[in-house]
Amino acid sequence: MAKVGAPEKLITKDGLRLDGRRLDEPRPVKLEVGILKRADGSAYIEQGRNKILAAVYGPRELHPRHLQKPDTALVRCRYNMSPFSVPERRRPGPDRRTIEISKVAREAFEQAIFAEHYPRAGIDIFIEVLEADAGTRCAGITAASLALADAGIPMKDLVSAIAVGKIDGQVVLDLTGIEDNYGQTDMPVAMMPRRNEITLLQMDGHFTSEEFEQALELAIKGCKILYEKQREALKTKYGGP
Amino acid sequence: MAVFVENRSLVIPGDLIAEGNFKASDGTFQEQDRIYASVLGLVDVGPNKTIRVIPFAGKYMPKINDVVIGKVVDLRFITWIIDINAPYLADLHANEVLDRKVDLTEIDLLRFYDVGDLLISKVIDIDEEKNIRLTTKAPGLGKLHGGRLVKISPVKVPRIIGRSGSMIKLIKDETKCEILASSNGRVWIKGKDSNLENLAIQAILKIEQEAHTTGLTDRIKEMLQKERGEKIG
Repeated sequence: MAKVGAPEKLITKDGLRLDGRRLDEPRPVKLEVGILKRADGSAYIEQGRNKILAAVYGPRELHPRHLQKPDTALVRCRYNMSPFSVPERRRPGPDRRTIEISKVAREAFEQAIFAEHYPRAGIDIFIEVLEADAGTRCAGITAASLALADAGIPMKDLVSAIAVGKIDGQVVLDLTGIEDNYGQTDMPVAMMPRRNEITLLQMDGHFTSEEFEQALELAIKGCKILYEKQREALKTKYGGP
Repeated sequence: MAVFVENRSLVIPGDLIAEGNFKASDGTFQEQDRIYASVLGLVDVGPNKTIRVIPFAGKYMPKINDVVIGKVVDLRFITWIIDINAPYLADLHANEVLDRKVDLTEIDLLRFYDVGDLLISKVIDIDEEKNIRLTTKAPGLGKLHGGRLVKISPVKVPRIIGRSGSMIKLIKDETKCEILASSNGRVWIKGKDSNLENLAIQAILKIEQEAHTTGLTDRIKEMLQKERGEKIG
């Protein structure tokens, strides 16, 4: 994809976005569970142009041993972007941004996982971004949550995540890359939809407090849409109703 | 007091299963008087209002009195370290192996169990830090000689064994193999010839693959009889 200049408008006159979506409409999502043979649990997500793999290993022996916790399992998470996942080649390896995302993604799951069932053990979550178009941390969390369920790890609830933002002064759901780059605000939200508990909330940009309330409501609505897709994906794998 | 899902229906983590005076068992958690699923699996409402979820996946978690097939990975002074396919290594102390005193200056303990040996052992203690102690001091326990080892998902072992041992008996009868299925997901097979062993392994892997389907015993029986007819004549 060649670099495109700033679009004149992100929302057209008839109230639709550049890709034809309504303001409160998420991108099309495809979810698949259990696609990696050698991982204990795995999932794949396509959300718009995002393509992300998630894998879970464990609970397993934790090394190095000094990290072991006597009363609970240690949850570790690695978010990584492939060099070919963005238009301009990305230098491989962790950087400031991916280290931060790994941390907040881990914290989004720590709320949900019953880690205390597995003292001294480790649970490892890997989020590999193969193609990125904004909202990868959210899509990664959505996929990793399915991978955790696929691995048979006990949880209070699934975790679903989606971003909301402000473009052309309007609050919208699930930003694309262009909207993220030329919009005003990006706010990723992760939550446990059944329990209505938010486990991740970050914000880049500005909202007025009214806009924030509106955006949060929209994000919760978006998470619940994704939650239904997650349920469907899990049920499809095991041929249930 | 109500159960919100049908027995044997599929639940995912966080699903509300029942409310009221029920007992929350494996694969569930309780908040006030509500019982939720904590893992992906099938609901099972048992006698005495016990609710559990039969998981589709998951690691083996040892319980006291489990009989497990373990592999010796190390000997540390007078304790063997055993891999039992759990998130934790288990300890097998020499006291739980030998029934007489040995002089360690004379006798090397590796003589009894060497690194790499397969053992059939029993879990005798687990503490809150999940330190696991094993014993091989009971009839039927000890070293496994020869044979072959198949690894399957630990949650599928009850299906291999079948209701009161019907499935494993079927395989044993049809293939004339000795078969030991242990709750940690390891199945040991020893037969008269490799064809029969292969057939038993084939049957076990088929059961693992199709564990959640019904009428499996009949299909396994059919497969074993057909294959046996072809190979042995």
